[in-house]
Amino acid sequence: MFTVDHEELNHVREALQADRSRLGVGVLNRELSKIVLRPFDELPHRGGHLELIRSLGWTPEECLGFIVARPAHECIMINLSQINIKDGPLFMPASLFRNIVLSLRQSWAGMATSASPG
Amino acid sequence: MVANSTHESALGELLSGIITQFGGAIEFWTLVCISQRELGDPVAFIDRQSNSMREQIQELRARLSLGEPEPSDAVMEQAAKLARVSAELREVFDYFIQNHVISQKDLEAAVMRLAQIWQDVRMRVWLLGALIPLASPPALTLEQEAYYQSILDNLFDQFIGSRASASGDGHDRNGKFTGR
Repeated sequence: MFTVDHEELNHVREALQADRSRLGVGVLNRELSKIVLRPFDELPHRGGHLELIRSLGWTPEECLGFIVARPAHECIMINLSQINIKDGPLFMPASLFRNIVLSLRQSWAGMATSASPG
Repeated sequence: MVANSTHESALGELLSGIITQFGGAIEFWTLVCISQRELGDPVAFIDRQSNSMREQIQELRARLSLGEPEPSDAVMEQAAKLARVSAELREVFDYFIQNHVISQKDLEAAVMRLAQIWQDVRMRVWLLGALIPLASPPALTLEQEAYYQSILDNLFDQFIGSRASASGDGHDRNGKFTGR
């Protein structure tokens, strides 16, 4: 399981609840086993996964990414990021993504998800 | 003459921010178009990001016009061209997001246009930095260069893959995970 900052998670959720056209940027640092999340619009230059990773002093090689969205009443996570293509496709391995989902669920009750198939 | 340090710093940050924002379009707006069926309001998202980019370029032009001495015509011309490139970027993304059925030929042309826009932006930002002139014109690291180029190289296949997924004749990229 991975560590998640509960306040970050809630902040993204609140941002998406306020406006369903907003999106969250999520990154897992595999070496630190840590997940970070930001509303896309709150990244200083709206530079996506790469800006978030670089702002933390991390590298794309040690990270995997996903998107947080709110198409309806609940937030979902979408297993999709350009930083994942170093491993092949745009999505990370399903087992890894499930662990991210489980980690986030522990902090975020009632969250629906969208995950890559195994 | 080199711009005074405060002014130079502000311009350098603005230019760096603009290139990062264009990079965000290459990286993230494309994902929004690819996964738009799963999102709340992707059209509004692209609209908001595009407006934000336009505002950044407007701020750049306003700051440039405040410079002492007055910026050269060449500087203002490059800033105006950057604004036009931003408008072209908007057109490409409007095309991606509004046309669910695109021929492979048109898709290839749109992806190529995006790659050209990216090259244009990098060149104009570098040129602006040199013309102002800034002591250290903003530039991408080699890692960033490789990252964005890799995205552009794979973008056509990504769009084709997402279309296959949407039509059910390919793998399901994002199966719903409905457990709680």
